[in-house]
Amino acid sequence: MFSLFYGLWKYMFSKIEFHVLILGVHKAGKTSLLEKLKSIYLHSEGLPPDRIVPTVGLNIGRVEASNAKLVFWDLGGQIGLRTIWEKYYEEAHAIVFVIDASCPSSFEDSKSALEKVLRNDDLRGAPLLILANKQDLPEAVSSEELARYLDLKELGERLYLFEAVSAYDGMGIKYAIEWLVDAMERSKRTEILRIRARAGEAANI
Amino acid sequence: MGILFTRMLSSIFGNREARILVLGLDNAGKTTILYRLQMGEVVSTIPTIGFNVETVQYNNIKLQVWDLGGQTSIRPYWRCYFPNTQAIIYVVDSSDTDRLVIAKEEFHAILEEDELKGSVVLVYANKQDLPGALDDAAITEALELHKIKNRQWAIFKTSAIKGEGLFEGLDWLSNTLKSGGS
Repeated sequence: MFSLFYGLWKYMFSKIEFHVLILGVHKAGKTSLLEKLKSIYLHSEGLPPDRIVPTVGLNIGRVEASNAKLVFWDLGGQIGLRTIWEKYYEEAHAIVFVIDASCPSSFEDSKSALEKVLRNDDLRGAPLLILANKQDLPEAVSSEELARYLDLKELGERLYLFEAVSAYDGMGIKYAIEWLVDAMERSKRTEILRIRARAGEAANI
Repeated sequence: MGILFTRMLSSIFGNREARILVLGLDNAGKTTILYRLQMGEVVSTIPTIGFNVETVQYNNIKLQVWDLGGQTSIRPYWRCYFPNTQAIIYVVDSSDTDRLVIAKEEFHAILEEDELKGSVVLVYANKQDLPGALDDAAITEALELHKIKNRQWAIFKTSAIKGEGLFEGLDWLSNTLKSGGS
């Protein structure tokens, strides 16, 4: 009986946990972004960028932002490892796609990787935050220029935002995350994932 | 280099008791790795219940090694070694393709243990020096590492015999533990 009420209480009051995938090609700055998120929202030190090694696996950051619980999944961007990305799609509420805005030679690879992500059915309706990273470097292009370059055709009705940030000094990150939380709260996908999770829990009982 | 790593670890853990389990099927190369790390004297003990645990102790950090798989009767005793485990280093013989399925099953079974839920996972795709060894992407697939969603993991190609890849993995491990684990 208690567990019934407890379950109901949890159902009504617990904050849902949003799963956010951080994707992007090798050396875009995904793990630096994750560490910056940890330092902004957890007020912890976070690893300095010079200590970060290429990710060959999964890094996780759990933070609370804009009154929501966020779990960030940061996956490695080397070509051989991108097959892992898909395995995390189904449970992701949103995607953060990181691009090194100071490195135009990486744009082509970023564009094709991102287009492949957007075509995947498992990510249907997931809000998309595209970050023009490394704005601390003088040669970085603006988010508008990056958007023009990527010229994405497959956005459809998806909620998306291009934003200029620096994972090094933190510029633009808070605003981008606020947008992301708001977008996830409004997204139909969130509702669908919630229903699916409940069905899964019910099946376990 | 071994000394450097142990210093790094002790700076992370301070005075806390810490444990790192080095696990894998028999013949994966775990003991060779222990010797490669040169952290101290490897002490081999065979308790009366009959499973062999190798321990390297450095200050407050214990690295403990045993074989997964085989005899199910002794498995309950494994739990004695679980508390305070910050990390699991899982070693796979990347050339032993016949036993990858068993390696996968044993791996996921150990991750289910309650007392190990908070530990981060470092996988060594070992024996890269042997012909026919699968690479990191293939081992990731075979071990179904993507099923891990609640803790941090990483995989590195290693050759314990040649001493390659071990410290890159340990770098990741110490960085990850330092930035707060999962």
